[in-house]
Amino acid sequence: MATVRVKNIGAVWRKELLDIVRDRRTLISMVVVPIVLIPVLMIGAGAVMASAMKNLEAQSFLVATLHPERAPRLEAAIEAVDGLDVVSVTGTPLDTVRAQVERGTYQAAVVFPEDNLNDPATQPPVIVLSRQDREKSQIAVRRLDRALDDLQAELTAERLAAYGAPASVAKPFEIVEHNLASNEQVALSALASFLPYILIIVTMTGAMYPAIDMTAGEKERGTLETLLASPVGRLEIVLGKFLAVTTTSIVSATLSLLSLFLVLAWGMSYIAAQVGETLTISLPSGGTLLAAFAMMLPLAALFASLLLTICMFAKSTREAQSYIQPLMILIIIPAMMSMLPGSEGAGGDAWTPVVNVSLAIKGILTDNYDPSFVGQTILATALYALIGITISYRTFQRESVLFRV
Amino acid sequence: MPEIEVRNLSKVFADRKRGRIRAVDNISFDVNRGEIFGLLGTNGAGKTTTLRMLATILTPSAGTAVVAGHDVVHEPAAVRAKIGYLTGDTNLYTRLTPREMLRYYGSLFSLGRDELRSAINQVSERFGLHEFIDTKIGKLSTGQRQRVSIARAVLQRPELMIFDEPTAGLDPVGARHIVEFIRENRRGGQTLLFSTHYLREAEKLCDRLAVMHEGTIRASGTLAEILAQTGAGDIEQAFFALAGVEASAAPAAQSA
Repeated sequence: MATVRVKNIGAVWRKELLDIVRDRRTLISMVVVPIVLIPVLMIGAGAVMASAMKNLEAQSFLVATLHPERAPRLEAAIEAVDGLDVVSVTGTPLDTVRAQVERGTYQAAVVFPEDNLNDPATQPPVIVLSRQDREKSQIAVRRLDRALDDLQAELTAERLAAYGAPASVAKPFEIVEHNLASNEQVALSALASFLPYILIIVTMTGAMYPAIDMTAGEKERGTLETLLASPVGRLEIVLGKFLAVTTTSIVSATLSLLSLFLVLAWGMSYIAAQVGETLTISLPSGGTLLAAFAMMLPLAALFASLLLTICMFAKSTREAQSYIQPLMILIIIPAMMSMLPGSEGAGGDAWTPVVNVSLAIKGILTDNYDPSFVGQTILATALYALIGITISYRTFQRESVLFRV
Repeated sequence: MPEIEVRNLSKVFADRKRGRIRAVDNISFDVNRGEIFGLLGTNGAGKTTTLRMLATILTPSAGTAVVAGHDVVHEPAAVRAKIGYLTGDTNLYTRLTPREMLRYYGSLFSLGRDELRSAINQVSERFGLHEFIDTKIGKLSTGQRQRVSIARAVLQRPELMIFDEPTAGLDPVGARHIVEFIRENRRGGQTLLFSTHYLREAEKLCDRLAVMHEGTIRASGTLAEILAQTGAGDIEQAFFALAGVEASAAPAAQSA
């Protein structure tokens, strides 16, 4: 095993950080993307969606009624709905009405039953036509349903009264739901499903440019040969570069973690306010942030070692970028695990790279995790990083890699 | 004891397309202390591979080399601590300033804080770096960069300097800096091994030289000895006789 002098590793680490901090591309991927771009995009997208939703809710939709004269109470109930413009199309053949709904001339149509709803012995159909693949049609039907349900309840009550029976005959029990989660917790659970994904991606992108620059970049600029002829050992060079890439990756992840929380805490309440709700999200406790951070540390190290090894093979920075693309895709998919409904950290997942971190962070954020899963995740990721850095070192010793032409 | 002792040194590369390539084939030579020794050869003769092995950047496939008293295979770190290595296409860290770059290399050569400061002042004085020492290297002219490059190679006052085609690709002004520097060192008594494909450069600067061709040393000694061995009238004739090619068929070796 080669001798390792901490002083030399420190010298390489400091020089690489100084070099990288002066590179505009790195600054963009390390600082601008996590603290400006991602929050702005997320808040922007959320705000745009909320405002589009609000607009849609404020709109009135056209609903056609066929034979409304058959059931005046039903007609009155539908006409009383806010946000529906009811048009009687009696006389138009049913097929034509169907076609009109399909085309979107009407967002929905109601075909009244032949029976006038007065006979308790029958259960005539009230047919509602819609296009559920269209949002406007969905909202129109939702509004119609509410009116129909109300009328149904009203008629039921009247009929029961006529028979002298109490309301409990038709409704044996009342459903009383208590959601024990606060609004904040509900919002946090939504956050917890996509935050791990963003964090993992930012940890990766924060390491990408520095890794390319310190390997393929150094080869391309022709500075590697001189460095190899200096007394610094190859293991020291690899470790110095590895620590520098890990550092930029962690800085990037930390900045994005903080900015996301700060901006989202404000942004989510802003979005909630747009749809008429109040929501306050406070920062997670120091312990939660620390636990998430403890997870990012070995992950950053793992990404740094992977990226360094891959980029070492490349002759140019452009070649390195093309090598990295497949790795990025390989990481995006497992990083998305936290977004799967019902996904939780358990069992063997703790040894599946990236998936484990994604699930563990989700668990930590929602305060629903198994400490042994989190512990194993940290251990497994650190172990993979160690294997990664060993491979990096081996690769860096190969003349055919360093002097590839 | 010679400063560099090369015995039966070989380097074989495995190339996917061309198979095994003997870039350096069983060469032996010595470089004495205080001597300027030139490796002369066309492109692809094996000069760079030889110098890279001596600087411990590449590991020899066979043979031995002792540089500044240390074996290149068994004590590579000790060898590197004693040499100043420079290549003609040395590019520098363009986002750093010359001072930062010198500090970096100084710390890798284990120079203490005060020692480093005085070494930087000294090379800065010697190569006239003062006016741009705190300007990013990316903003410097080629000539200024070349001066920073040499300053970097000699910062730690190496016992031995190994320069790989130091003037290749330089304009006449840049090349002149290097040539003057080498001449100055001759007066200072430092040992220098350098490679070149410029015949005149070898003729003007070297105490002794070796002519390399296709991985082997075809002749070595003082210019007079080589001329005597080949029976040639000048270095150009001698070179082409040793390389076994007609003068017109070897455009890579230039008599600049």
